[in-house]
Amino acid sequence: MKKLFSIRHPIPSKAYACLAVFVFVFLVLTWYFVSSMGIVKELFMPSPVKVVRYIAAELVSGGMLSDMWISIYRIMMGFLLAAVLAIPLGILAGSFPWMEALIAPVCEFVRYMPVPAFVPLVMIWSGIGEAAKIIIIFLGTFFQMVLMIADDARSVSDDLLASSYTLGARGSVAIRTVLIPAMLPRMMDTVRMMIGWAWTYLVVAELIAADSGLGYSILKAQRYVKTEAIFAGILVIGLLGLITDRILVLINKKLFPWAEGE
Amino acid sequence: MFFKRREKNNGCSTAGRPISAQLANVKIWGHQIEKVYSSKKGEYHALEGLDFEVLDNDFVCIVGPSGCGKSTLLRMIAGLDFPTGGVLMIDNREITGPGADRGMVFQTYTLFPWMTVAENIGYGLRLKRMKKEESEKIIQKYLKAIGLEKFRDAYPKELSGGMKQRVAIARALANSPEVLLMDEPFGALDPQTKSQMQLLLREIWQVEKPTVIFVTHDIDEAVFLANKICIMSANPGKIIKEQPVHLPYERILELKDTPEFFELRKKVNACIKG
Repeated sequence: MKKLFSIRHPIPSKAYACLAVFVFVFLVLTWYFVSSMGIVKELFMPSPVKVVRYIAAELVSGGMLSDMWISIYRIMMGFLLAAVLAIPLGILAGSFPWMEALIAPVCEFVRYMPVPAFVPLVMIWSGIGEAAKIIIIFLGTFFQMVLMIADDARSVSDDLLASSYTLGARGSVAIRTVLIPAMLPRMMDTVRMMIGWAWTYLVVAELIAADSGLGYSILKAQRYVKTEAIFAGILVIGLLGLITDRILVLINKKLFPWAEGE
Repeated sequence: MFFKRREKNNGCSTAGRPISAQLANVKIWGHQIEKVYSSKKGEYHALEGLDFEVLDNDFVCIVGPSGCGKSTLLRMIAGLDFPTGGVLMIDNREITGPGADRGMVFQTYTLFPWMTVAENIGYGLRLKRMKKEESEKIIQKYLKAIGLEKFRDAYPKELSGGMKQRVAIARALANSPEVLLMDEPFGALDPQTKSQMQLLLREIWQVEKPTVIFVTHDIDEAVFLANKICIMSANPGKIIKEQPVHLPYERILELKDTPEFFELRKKVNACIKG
């Protein structure tokens, strides 16, 4: 008992997994009892069985699949666009103080502007087509990502760069052969976190300005008070997020077997 | 060449070069070096009026109390830092930046973690676009010299601290630098590993004969390794004494228990304590 409350005392990984699973089971069971015992009306809180059945039926009929694909497509486009521009800008800002002066303050400012507030403007500019969602995801992730990538670049130790200089590397060679490889694991972590954000902004975009996608399916369900469909939508988005996250963690481990501190 | 450079360095008096510096075999020459850090609180003179000279192929240790600027001096020779006054030259050319002619080993572990041991050692050679077969020979030679042939494909995270520093030395030497700069490279190692590393370094130096400038605060280490010890004082940082080390050319660990060794250590200690 004393050990449990000694700070940072390690526990076996099996025990860790058990505790984590226990919380999930506990939550689902609580949910099940609250809804099936009629403590909360079925209309407000459908039972987990009903939600799972709904998801299964939707997956079989393909209705939800098409919503999923269009949402994933939007994330990919918006996020890739943001990453392709933010990564080089971030690296430059993290490498050269004069570049940082040009890039960072603007990004700091824009990232505090709430993205949902841009939605009306984006709709005026580009209607409710695909471009609108991609722009919203871009706005939500790009500025933040530039700053975080710049931090990743700055985190590469001075001595590591200095030793490359004393081995004959200068300027762009040092960036290409030392700075970028050294920051890659952290950068991939940043990318992983930003994809999580992208899911949030996707739903923002689809709730307000869409006629397809997972976010839209939630909105549509609200109109017909189909709470099980709302639950299903939220759960599926959560699961997709979790799956992308885990896949990226696995990719990172495979790509960077040399990374320290694991 | 020298005079042209001196004009460029306007505002710095060079007030006559010592005669020895005119000899062909002076590798590094510093005169009245000054490093001033200015902040809102005022100026801090890290180095002031520092004269410094290292002969070609020599092994020089710089010792001094912490904060005396010995690492700053070393970084200046590497071209990673610059004096605010005075002249600092290599082969009669002013040092304007870092280069492959001056390899450096740091106290912190600076191996590239995404490269294997062999790739780390070959990094400088790849930058030079050396042919594969040629660089492979050099890598093999230094892997053997540091006794890590079995670890050629290991990543740095699999190595102990002493092994990492051995690879760092090999990486610097593989580039065949004219000058090897070492900034307390064994400072983080346990005493046992430290002695072995000193032995290895001296051995390598006797074969390869690069000019070595080795910064340390460990006086035993300095006496054991060096042909000449430069002793620095702090506030302001300058070299107060040059102590030649007349010990046998072949350094063995038993040397550390001889009266000659004690005598030298005492001399250097006395000088540091003022």
